[in-house]
Amino acid sequence: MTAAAPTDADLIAAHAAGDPHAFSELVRRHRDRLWAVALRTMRDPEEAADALQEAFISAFRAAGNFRAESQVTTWLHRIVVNACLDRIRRKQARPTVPLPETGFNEPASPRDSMSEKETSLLVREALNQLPDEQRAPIVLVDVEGYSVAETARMLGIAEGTVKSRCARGRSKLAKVLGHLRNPDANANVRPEDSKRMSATSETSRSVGRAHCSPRNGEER
Amino acid sequence: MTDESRGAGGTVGPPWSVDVLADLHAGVLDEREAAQLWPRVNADPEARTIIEALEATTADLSALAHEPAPPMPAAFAERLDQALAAESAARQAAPFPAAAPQGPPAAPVVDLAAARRRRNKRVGWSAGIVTAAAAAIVAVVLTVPGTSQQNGTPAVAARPPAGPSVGSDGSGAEALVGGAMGMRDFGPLGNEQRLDACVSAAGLNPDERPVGIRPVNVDGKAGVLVIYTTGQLAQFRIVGFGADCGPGHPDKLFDKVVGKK
Repeated sequence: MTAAAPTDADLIAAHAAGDPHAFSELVRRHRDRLWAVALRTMRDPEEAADALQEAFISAFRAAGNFRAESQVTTWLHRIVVNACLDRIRRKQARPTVPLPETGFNEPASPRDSMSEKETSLLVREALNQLPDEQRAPIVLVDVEGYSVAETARMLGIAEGTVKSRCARGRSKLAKVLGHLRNPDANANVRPEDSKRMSATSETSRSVGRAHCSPRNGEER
Repeated sequence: MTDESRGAGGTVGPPWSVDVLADLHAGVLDEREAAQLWPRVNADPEARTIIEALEATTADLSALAHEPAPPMPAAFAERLDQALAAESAARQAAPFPAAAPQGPPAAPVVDLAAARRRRNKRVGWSAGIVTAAAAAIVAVVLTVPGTSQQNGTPAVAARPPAGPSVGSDGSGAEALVGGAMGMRDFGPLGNEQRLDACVSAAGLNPDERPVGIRPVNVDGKAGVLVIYTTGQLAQFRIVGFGADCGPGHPDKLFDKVVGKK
């Protein structure tokens, strides 16, 4: 007999019922996508791999608690992010290298000449320059699309702190990425010092209504 | 409001403070402050330039999530597979957590070093389990008390029916599959050698390791439920044997495939 491919929810249910193959299939389906999530959240590939392994083992054990009202992919995504954050917290006893207040203002190369791939590489590198306390909320809110409230819960900090850390991190990233070129964050920035103004002029008109991120109202 | 340094308190108006505008953009300022500031920002090209730079930054960040996912490097993927195989073996060696509250807690992310230590300890027999599970079948061995015994196992045969009840045709046994995974309780048969003899007599392969064995009460008669996988996701084969089973006498009561069709 020929059966349709089981859904993710079928696989979770089968795994919870004891099927020894179901979880492997789930991992095969989502491993690379979740690897990308771990890689974005952690700075180091080795750390990302460890976090992803922790996350999958956690999901393996917690499958019996999965409730069908949420999507399996969303459930897995959150477990991976939480595993990453857990590792970041454990690392925070170690000293971090702070982002210098000066000297990072020029982009590595002119933005206009970069391909999309180079741009994303530059963005990842810029993210890696942020201290963890700013990097984590920026990744969760701006990259992964969690709301400020969800991010606050996941990080165990106040929503206002999430917003404030996002604000600080974005202003630094804006300079690292070449959107702002003034070396002093507290000084005024003239229009002619900013790059790529026209590319975002439309979306920026809605700024302030979005609060913290264009996607921050999106629930996971 | 927060424990962070804030741009609020900086210059509000030309020349604009980037941090003040970043706070405004991020929703840090309270509603009253924001309501007063936005019209001024929107009317000032200098302020708009900064806001647009912040928007361009969030757009760059958002785009990261939509990039094609790179494949996980093979070395990491192999390590992950090994860890999950060990976890799977551990689950089969012990009652499934859903049926065994004493099992490890599910929600917290486990310590990786501890998981690796467990993996190393189990790697020897996990390989055997995983291999066997890939080709497994399910069998239910039923022992009927009061019937004749093979080679003197009267104490086993005399046991009263134990375990959950299923129909004489195995109806209801599928509901026991999840809870029986990982169990190795031979019940009235007593040991694995006896079960292997029953399995061989029924024409099944005794080298195919069951993924679960437990005693059941089949229509008032004592028995043992043995579970094998079929190689198909979410599908199992269950087979029932009577208490008389043994060399040359299968006493197989039922044999059916359950789960996903």
